[in-house]
Amino acid sequence: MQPFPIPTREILWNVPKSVEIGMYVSMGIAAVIFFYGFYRRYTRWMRGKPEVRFDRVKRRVWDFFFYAIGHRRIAEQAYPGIMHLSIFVGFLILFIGTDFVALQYDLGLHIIFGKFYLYFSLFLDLFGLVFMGGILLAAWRRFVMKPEKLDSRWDDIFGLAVLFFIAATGFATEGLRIVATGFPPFEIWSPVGWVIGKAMVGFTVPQLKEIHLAFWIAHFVLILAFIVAMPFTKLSHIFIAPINIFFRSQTPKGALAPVPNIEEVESYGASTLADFTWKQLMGADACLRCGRCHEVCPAKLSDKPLSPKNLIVKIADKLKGGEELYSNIENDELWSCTTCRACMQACPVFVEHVDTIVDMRRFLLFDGKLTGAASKALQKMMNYGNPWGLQESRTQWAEGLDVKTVAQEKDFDVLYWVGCMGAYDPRNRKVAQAFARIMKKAGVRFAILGDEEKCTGDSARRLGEEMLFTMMAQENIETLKKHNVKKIVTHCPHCYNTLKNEYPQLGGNFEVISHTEFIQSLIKEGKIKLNKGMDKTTTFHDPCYLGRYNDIYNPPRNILGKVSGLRQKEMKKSHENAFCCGGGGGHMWMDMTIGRRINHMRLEDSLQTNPDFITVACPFCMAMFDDAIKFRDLVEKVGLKDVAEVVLESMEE
Amino acid sequence: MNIIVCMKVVPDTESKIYVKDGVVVEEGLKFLINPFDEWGIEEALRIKEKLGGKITLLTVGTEKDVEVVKNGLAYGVDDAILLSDPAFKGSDTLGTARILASACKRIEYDLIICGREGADYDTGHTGIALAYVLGIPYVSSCVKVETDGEMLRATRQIDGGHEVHEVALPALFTTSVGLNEPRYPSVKGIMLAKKRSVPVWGKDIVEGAVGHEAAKYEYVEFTQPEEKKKSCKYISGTPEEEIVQLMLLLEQEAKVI
Amino acid sequence: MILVVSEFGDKLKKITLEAIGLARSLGQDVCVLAIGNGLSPLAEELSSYAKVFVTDGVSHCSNELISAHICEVARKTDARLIFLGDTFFGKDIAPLIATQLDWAFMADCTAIEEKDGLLVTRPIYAGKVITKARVKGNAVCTLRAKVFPEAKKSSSFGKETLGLPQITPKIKVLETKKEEQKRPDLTEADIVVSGGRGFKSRENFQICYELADLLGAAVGSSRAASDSGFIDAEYEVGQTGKIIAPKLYFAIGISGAIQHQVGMKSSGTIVSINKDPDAPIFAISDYGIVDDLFKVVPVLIEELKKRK
Repeated sequence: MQPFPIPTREILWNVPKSVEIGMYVSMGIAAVIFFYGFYRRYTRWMRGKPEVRFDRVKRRVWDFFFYAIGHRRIAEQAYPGIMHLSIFVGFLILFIGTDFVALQYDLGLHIIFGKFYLYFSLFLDLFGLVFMGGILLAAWRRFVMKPEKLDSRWDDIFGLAVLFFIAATGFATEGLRIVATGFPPFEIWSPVGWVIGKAMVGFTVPQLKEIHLAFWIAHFVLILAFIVAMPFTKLSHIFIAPINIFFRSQTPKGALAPVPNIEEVESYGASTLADFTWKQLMGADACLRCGRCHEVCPAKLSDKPLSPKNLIVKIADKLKGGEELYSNIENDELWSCTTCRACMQACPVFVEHVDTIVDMRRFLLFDGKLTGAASKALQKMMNYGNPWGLQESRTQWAEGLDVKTVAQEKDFDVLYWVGCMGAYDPRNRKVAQAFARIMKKAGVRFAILGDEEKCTGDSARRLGEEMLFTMMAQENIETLKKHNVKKIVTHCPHCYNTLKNEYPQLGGNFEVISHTEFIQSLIKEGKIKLNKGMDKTTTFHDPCYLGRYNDIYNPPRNILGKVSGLRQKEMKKSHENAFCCGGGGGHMWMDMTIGRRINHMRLEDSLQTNPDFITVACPFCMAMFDDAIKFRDLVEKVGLKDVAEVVLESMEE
Repeated sequence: MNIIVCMKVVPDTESKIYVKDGVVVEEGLKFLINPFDEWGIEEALRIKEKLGGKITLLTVGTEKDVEVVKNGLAYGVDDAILLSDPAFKGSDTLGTARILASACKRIEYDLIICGREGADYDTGHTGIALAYVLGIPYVSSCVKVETDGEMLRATRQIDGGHEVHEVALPALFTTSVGLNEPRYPSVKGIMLAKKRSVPVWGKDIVEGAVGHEAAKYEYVEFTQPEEKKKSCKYISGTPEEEIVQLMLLLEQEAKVI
Repeated sequence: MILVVSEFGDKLKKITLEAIGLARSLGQDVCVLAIGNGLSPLAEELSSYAKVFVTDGVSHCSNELISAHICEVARKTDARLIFLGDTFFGKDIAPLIATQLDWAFMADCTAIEEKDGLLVTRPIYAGKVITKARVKGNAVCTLRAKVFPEAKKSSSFGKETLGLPQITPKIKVLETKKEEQKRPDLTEADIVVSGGRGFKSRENFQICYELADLLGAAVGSSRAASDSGFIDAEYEVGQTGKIIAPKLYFAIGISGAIQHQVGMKSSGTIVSINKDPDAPIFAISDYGIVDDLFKVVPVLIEELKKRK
């Protein structure tokens, strides 16, 4: 053998010219098919309605790098995180390696030689192993561990197989070349190839060359298969997922998309696929059935018909065309959702499940598919401004507290938005009273709207009653503007979210603060003092609309931390992984009897921390926990307080 | 299968109703479709979903009822007709039934659905009188109905139970509590229905005596029972003492036993 | 002459005696028509209150047929007023009788006077308003139960058997299902006994039925009780159940969350029994007993039994 003085290798060694030409021709054909395939997918998305997603480019680029390249969400779970990172990084390195080869061979740039070649070879070999290791991890997980959230279709198997064998044949080819060229010493820098070569020493050079060519062709054919299959299989996620991340929603999380021209349009909501926006259709296409939404969804976990994954997959499967949108989707699948956003929090590719569900609810509602208690609640909201149709004053909770309405007091700094639960629900009235007392003691100059306050419309909107929401919101905005309101504080996260993130859509721009943030600043400013300690343990339940929707996790905890002697324990599912109480998405007003009760499940979670009392920061959570505690007959054993009530208790002299 | 649903516009039963100067105050009252008739509309829609056909809504009222009649259209019925004329004023329940009957005679129908009673005057006469004037059989206070287009099978409430009646169409039935859960009429649907027109039929289509002159009764006085001040009277003592006190109060003060 | 139509069937109902009592207080001749099957004991009983017309051997109430018969009897007896109870029987047939005879129809009457003609008092707007109607000519009236004093027994009046007219009704009655417990319908009962989570178990909840039967009441429940399986969901009173307004409502072991309140706060008299003094139900109650229901309710039951 001729020793090569300079480390390098002959590119396309042993590949006859005819095969080389065949390579280019077939690559050309594959490219056409590849682009055609993706173009066809693109046209399917474009059947949807328009939507603006080209704004805030800088943010989009950042999210692309952080979440797509950076694997931020994928890595939330260790095993699949390592698994996918290995495949991703391995593939990327191998791909870059191939690019270097192409640069040299096709463009004549002389790079692959010398020291560079040594590191190049080692790098590629190691990452080739990492790549194959990742695929093996994936196969093990999918076929041996078989988590419930994963389902396997033919292209899941195909994808793993083709990638595995591309790498395997690649190593084989490398090994065969090394042995057939007489083990040039520097080729030890391709350790995998070296070892494979050592195993093939029994063959003659001509035999080795034959086998090498066979493997080379196999390697190439597999690559072609990969390229051609990409647009038509799950492998498309390689492009679509990062693109979907790039186009992710950049508007406030809690703001559902309004219906443009709602007064004039004949109908709205998703009655067919074409009613979704192109982004929603692309989103469905980007879903790779990882099942992370499925395993955190409270509806799914409480045995209701909804699985966010199955819903999105059903929509994706319909993109090919021909099927009616609702052909295999039950109404109860859509009504089961509590809009807790756990699905969207978990999704590594940023599919927008909640918005999709609400769009479908908008249609269902229009089509007369809502009955029962929720229907009555909506009618009451419309006629009386609150979900129970109560005609008593909204100021009864404040009797004896010297709370002024905006009509009585023009000179106020902040408006306290009480909300329907605080105004009428007996248990939640106590929270309003506690918070009002705190503000009074702190000398806050606040006023309430009193009977001019109407339901913000959060439940109406989440139930799909967009028109009613629009009307209610417009009325409230007018009232707030009439009284020159600039700053609003509220103890209800649903009101908070709607006032802060959704009213701007209709021209209502106010500074909105959660009562947890507000109390936190009052403590910081020394306006209230928490003198009385308590020798108790508590656990804080993150409200979905404060936590996941508005990223407010610390203020309530900080407040509780200021109560001396109060020990805080976190539930296993807390912060952005907190499990819903079951009251959102209109469920407070529904009588859904399917499956288990979400609030009972969450109570169980909190009882695991052995608390003396549970702390909540939302009237729906309060009602849900109250109900569950009474059901389990634990009233004497576990207390239930709002953050404001804890604070008031520790303020008392 | 063609269905006529008779609908009355009444104040919301959960509104606060006041009597002032001897008359019921209408200002501030929310008017809606009589809940018994809402069940009628829902049942008609379900029958139509199974058997096809046309649903016509009939209301005897005045111009101000048109808005609520249009809400009826929002549910998905095909047509709505308002029967209104100064000559109808002061009609009693039989007069109203005659007006409805005259209208029904001009519409093709297999089935007529009425509410058992109107949630305002709680009389429960009109539907039955309508059936009699038209010469068709009726089943009242129904909690479940089935039809195949030829026969009507209705389960009605009786004292202490239920009874199943069967009769050939054309027939009439009146709805009772629990017949069905009406679907939600979306606000958008209501807004679209507002754009539709509701024809008004007057006295020229009516046969028979209607109006004030023909009425067999006239409401001459309206009063309101004393509004109880809601403050709880707490009863305490031993259980025996508590019960004795309670019985006394229920018999003598509240007079409910 | 006032014709009182007894409740269909062979049971003597109080409302019939109340109707006879009312008729007598108007100073008019009264007779009673009883229709049903196996009527001998009933006819005998009724004959000590007024002259009885008996139409026996009728197993189903077919409205066409029965109404036609009543009209015939009305003509025969030269009646000017016909009274029935405001029951499902009354609601079904009285309007038809009136229409057939071309008389006025008055439903759910609480007072009837002869003052320059007939003046009838009745509740409207679910009882929120009381109205008086001046009636022209003859009338068929359904009477509200437990308002008029019952007639007193006097001498023995005559009995006369009458046959049904020869009419083949268009409607066929396929089956009659009487509920085992003849309790009134929850949405229409005058008295409702409602139980909540305070009963702790389905077995304990049975006390409600006992109490209800002694009062002639319907049984209801809070959402919590039906969720816990103490009673079927159809008896739930509240926002996700039934909205009712009986004359008397017992809330026992019910805390009174707003969803429940919305279903019963329009009731006439509300009596609450709950050991939690802070239970929101007390805020909307007329009478409240803050005590253990397991101690109080049995005493109430005993007291009612004594009175029977």
